Amino acid sequence: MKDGGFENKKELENSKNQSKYSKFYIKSDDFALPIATVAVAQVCESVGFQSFQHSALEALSAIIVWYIYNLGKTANFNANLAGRVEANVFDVIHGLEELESGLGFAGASDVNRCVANLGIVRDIVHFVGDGDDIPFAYEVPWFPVVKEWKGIGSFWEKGEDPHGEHIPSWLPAFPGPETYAARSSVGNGTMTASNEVKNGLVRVERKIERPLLNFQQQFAHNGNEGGSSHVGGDKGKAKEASNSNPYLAAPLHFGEKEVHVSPVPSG
Amino acid sequence: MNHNPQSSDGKHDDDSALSDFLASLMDYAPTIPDELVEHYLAKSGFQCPDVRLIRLIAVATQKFVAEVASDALQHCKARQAAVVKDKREKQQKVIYLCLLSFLISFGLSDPLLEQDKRLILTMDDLSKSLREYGVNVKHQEYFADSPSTGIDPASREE
Repeated sequence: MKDGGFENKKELENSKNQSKYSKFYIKSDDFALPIATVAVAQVCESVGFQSFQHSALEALSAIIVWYIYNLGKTANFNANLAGRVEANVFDVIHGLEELESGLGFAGASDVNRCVANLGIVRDIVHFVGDGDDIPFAYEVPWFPVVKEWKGIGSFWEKGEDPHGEHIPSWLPAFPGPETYAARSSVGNGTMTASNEVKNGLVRVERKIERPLLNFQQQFAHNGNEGGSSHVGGDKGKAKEASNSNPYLAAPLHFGEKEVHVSPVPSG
Repeated sequence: MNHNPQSSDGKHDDDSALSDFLASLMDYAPTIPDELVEHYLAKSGFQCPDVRLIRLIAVATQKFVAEVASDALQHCKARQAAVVKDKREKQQKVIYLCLLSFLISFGLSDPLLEQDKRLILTMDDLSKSLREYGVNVKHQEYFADSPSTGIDPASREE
């Protein structure tokens, strides 16, 4: 089947794209990883490459992301080991030592070596001094963007009474009745509250009720089987909830469908 | 316990050299942007308000990439030199020389040379250079449609 094959192809491509970065793929990297890819491409171009294989470029960008992540993790660990929360330059240099330990570096065997004069630091100084700086090709905005979260506010901030001595005033205040009172008044024409939100919700629900009512009338006249059990569900459930507990209703037999027939209004 | 004054002076020099280097990093623009480095450092739990450390990490990463890329470039050039040599030996010299003279008369250069001049970063060269750094990036050599692909028909029948 062609359609099935095409869908499978799409799924295959999606899964390939997702598995490309293997265990380091996180959805939030959709913005950061391409930036890393561009930076890696620029560095490789400065070294002498004229073109890249797509897979090689992606692999190298994933590796530098891993490098930065591990360096930060190691530096943070070294800082915590010394009883600090904030890392300093020596923690970073020790982290570089650990990452370079596989290859070796000048002065590695010296026990009383000075951290500031390590071979790694000297290599970085030479690297910075020798080549010209190549700035990143694009302007990168600050990311990720953190949305400002506005809390409800505590009882004390709102000036409300905590409804009891057991509730401290610095705790967040309870949500207003409009968040839970509107659902219980579905199908009821008379409204006791004068809240605008409540009225708006009722108006929306009444708009939905009319076409449902018409469909149910048509169903009752024609006697067609259809999705009436599905259509009248919300309205029927609300009525049952107000009358009896729906969870205690008798179960339907196999092949039966629950149909809610509402009375036809006069006029 | 005797303190060696010369060693303490040396340490002061090293410290001042390091602080001077960190200060000079503010004038250097690394290819890897600070925002990217800060993002991944924040993910790892690294906390430091000093921008110079972010620059140091960015420069160290750039150096790592440059070293890997330069090793891969060496592998790429060595491979191309071997391939060009094989090609020249295998082709018929007479036909090749005639073609070459025809191309030169029109102002074109040797196509073999042009093809091999392009330096492409391939997965093969990258995996070879990364292996020295302890990173195993192995690429599948080939993909076969069925288990019997590539086997001689005679042995397949058996």
